[in-house]
Amino acid sequence: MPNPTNCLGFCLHINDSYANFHIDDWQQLVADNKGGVLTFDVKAKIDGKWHGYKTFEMYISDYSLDDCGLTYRRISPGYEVFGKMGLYQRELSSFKEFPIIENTLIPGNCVNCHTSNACNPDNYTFHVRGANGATVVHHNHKTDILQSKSNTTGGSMVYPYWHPSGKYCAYSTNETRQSFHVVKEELIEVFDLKSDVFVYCPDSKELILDSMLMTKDNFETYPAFSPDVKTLYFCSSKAYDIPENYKKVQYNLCKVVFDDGKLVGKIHTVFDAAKINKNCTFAKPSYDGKYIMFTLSDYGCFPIWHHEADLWLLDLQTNTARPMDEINSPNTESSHNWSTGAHWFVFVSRRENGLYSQLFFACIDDHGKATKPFLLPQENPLEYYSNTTYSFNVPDFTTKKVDIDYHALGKGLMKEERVVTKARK
Amino acid sequence: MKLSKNNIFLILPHIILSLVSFLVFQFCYKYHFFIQEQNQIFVWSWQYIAEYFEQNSWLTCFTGDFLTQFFYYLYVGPIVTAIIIFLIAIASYKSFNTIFNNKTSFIISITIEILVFFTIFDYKFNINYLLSVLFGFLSYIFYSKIFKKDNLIFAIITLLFGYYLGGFAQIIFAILYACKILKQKRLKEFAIIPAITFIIPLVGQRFYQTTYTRNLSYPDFCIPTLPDMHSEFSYSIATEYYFKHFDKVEQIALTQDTMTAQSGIYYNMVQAQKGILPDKIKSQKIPELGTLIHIDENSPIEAINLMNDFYYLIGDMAMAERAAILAQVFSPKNRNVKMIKRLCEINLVTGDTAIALKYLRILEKTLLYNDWAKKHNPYTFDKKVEKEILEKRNFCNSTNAIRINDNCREILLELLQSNPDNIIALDYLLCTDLILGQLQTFKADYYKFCIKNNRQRLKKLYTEALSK
Repeated sequence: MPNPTNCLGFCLHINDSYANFHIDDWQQLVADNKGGVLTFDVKAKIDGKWHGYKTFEMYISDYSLDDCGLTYRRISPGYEVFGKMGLYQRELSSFKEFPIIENTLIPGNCVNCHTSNACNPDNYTFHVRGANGATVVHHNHKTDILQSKSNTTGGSMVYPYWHPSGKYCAYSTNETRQSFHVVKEELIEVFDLKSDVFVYCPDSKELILDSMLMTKDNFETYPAFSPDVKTLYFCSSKAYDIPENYKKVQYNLCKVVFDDGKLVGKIHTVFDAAKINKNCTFAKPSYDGKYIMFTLSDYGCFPIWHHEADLWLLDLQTNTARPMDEINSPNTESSHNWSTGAHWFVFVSRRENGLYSQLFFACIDDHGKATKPFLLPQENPLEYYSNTTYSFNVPDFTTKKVDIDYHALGKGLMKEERVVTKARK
Repeated sequence: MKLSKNNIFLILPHIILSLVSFLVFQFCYKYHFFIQEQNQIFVWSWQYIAEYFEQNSWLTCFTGDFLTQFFYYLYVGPIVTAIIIFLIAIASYKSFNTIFNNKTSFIISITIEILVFFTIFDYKFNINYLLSVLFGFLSYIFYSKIFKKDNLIFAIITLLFGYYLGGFAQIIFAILYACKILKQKRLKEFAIIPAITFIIPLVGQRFYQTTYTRNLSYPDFCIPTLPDMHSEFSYSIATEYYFKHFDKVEQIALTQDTMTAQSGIYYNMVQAQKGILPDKIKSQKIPELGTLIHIDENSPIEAINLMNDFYYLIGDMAMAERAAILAQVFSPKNRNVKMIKRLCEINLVTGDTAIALKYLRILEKTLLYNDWAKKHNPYTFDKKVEKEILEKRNFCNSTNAIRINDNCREILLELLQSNPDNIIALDYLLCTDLILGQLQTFKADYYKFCIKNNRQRLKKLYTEALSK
């Protein structure tokens, strides 16, 4: 807990319908009080009389957040159709938001899962769903628009994760279906009829297929490379007939040695979630190699609609996992990503109202303890979040502005030409 | 324009045409305007208003959306439209009069007024489009008044403003400018402004992520078309159902020799609420119940709205919510007032107060639904509203299952398992069995939900079917 006597600097005062401090003053105050505490005193004039609210405090983290921005997808929490939606980037030092690509450029399509290489957008990939479906891969200053479905994998390139070298990108290929819960509690259930993991090599346009990650008896999904480049993590569940047995699908966290494009040795289970009758998805290693953060839910490949979904932290030094009670809520937490410094992370939560997902930040100290999360700031957060009918998801930090020629990309996506990938077994 | 005798003769036909358009829209096409109001929401908040700047044509879109919210009231839509048509006629006359003589300008302006009148029948029509047309002419008048001599640079600046504030208004300016240049036989300059008109949206794509065609024609350009009375009829029955004018719904539906699928479903929804569905379907040639309709992303908005009303009536809140969210996607900015109200009701019924409050906070910031929001606030419930919500809550589906399609039989069975007193669901189930000619299924359902549960549903239609 920071020492309250550490407070430095000056007092900011504002008299308005909401607190909108000048951004330079605010940043100065925060910089002056790194590791300290800010005290907030709020008074409101109601019916001509001033009323004081209980004073509250805000703790300034010792750990700086070096990434300059955040990328995310904003979409209506709809079901089968995609109204206006897109991928966006937000400056973290201001309230400026820029579209990376919006589906108004490719009407009727949906863009999802923008993934850069460890927050560096020099390499990025995202998938486009719909009539103009494709997988976009930006690598070595060149953008390839790959065919949406590969004959060799039988499906689309869905959940990606870049190899830290940038030479490879692991994808899952999922045959996905969507259904609705009769009782509104969980609303939507997304399940895979089948899923596998493979590795794409952008230089040679080859898909590296390995029978170890493409089994009939198991569903493999959510690949992730370790920061030391030697390990490929993924989630694996026993395969069932779907949808009849959708509640039986429980993924464990597994790993296999990855040696410059080849899988070596056997698959090892890192976290046996099924053993505790739980389900592990979205495993993301921290970039300092100390932790893996994952979402633990009751079942299924898509926990973002599950109220019981919580974030867990696996300490790779002690090999122990624990629920992150300091940040979890009774509602959904999932879809997290680490900052490059590995002391900050961003995640999606439905804690505000149960339907619209929002982005929260938290900081993690050297002992693996996380701070109280806070919502992605907006200039007038009450008004912004009250008015919006969009959900935020798939957030990630970015070390620099994502620079896409969306005009050219949109044109390319509207054409029929696609780069054809070939398989390497 | 001074009101000389000549001017009165020039204005009078425009006034008459505008008056005719008012009468036509008010008495033959009024639902067309109400549906537009229902398909958007105008929120009084700076954050919401700032969103207009994310697209070109923000001035005409902002003004149009602001005016559209008042189309909720009878007469407002047709009056506003007639006034704008009149202003377009006068502005077009004034614009062309700087190029042509009075007679030619008058003929052109009358032609434009008639064409614009017919564009209003287009299903894509909204007031934003009309305002852009008006803005196009006004920008030319402004340019002509300010710059007595033609100046290419200022013409380009006006074009840019036209694009930024009025979207395709710049095309109207370019046409007028080109006419003027052509008349003056300055052929070398002729192509410059039209060429720039087509280049501006190309540059605009750098700022607004839309396709070139949409950038050029934003807000949606409408084409002259004949009245679509089928759509107007469809809007009329949906609107009267929305206002709970059930007698009028019946009256409208019965004006047809054979009901359409939509009117039949609304008609039967009214009968179901009165508890006389089985009595009424016997007299219908092909009864439309709604239980056999499937909706998805390719369904028309009318069908999605209809099924939203249907699911809400029978008590399936999950499917009603699905349809409401689907319907919102068809609206500008992914939200419309009709579905925000419905989503609020759904969440009040299911007891999801947090999300209901979110929708209420949006509605509180509107001019027209502020009072509705207060009445529906769970902390300050209006007694009548609270009673309706609680009654509805009793009929909700409480089955723990997932659904991979919108098979209505399954939905009705689950609703009845959750609450056997859901008479509306029971009638729909039994009537659907009979319409499909599945007598054995009907008998099994009747036995399960009426005899076994000791909840006899004595209706002539059922008794006759049971005796077969």
